[in-house]
Amino acid sequence: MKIKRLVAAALLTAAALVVFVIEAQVPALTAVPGVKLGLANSVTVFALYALGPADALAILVVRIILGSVATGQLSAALFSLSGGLLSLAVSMPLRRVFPAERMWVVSVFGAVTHNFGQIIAAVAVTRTPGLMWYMLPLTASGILTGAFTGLCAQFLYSRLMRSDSFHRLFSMQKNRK
Amino acid sequence: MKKNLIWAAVFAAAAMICAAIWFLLPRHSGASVGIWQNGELIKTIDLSAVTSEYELTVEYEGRKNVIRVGPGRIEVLEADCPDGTCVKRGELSSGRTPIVCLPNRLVIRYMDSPGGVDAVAGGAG
Repeated sequence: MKIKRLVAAALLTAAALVVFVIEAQVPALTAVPGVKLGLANSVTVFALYALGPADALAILVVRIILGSVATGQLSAALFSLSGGLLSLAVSMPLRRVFPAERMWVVSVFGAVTHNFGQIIAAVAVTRTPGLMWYMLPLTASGILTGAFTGLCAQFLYSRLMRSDSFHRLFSMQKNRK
Repeated sequence: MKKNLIWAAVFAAAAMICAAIWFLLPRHSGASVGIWQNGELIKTIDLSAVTSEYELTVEYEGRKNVIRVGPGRIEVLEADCPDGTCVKRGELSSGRTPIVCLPNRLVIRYMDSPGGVDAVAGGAG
């Protein structure tokens, strides 16, 4: 059982890492720094529902550390971590409130709080409280991207839940529920 | 299904309100630009008084940013950080978005932009 769980978590970490590294190569969409799809977030939300909070946290932290090493942006790890951890801290209790059919709602809250965590880190680092104004465009973009990545995770989840081999892989969660 | 629609409406409204406030924020009116490092104002430049182009190097912990100043414009030309967000961003055009180089703790923005410290500390004013 434990090995299956480890394999599932490792698989999701690898998927998140690949998505993260690919997205880092894509040029920024807008002039506002920090606006991006955050596709790796869909893996975090998926893991939160499929495996549970502890595994989602482990996947997130490992992905950020490996991702910042792979993209050569070690200084960015601080921002990814502050955003990612805050996002997950908010998403964890929300998972209890929202069923898997509304995974995308949790993802939206996660994306917005992720941006909030990053802005807080940026304010602390530059000691420029005025950067808080960035929360306006980042909230708007977080809602859109969070809904998108959340729907990706949700559709994947509902489809995979019909497959037997997937059930076997994630069986711990299934039994616990 | 109905709950999904309600949430979608709530989120759409929130996104639109945020975007609307952002676009309604006043733009800068002056031409005075400040360069901050680690939260400290290290230089102010009146862009309207600049007649010819020149370059300016700012260092932070051994890393540097090369800033190009011209008549009415300012941009980061080179940065030895890995991401280069501040270089890709180009010229400081509007008062809303400052040029920020997080690895080198550098912020360049108009002195009277709404993102200013004063605007935050003094409330909406």
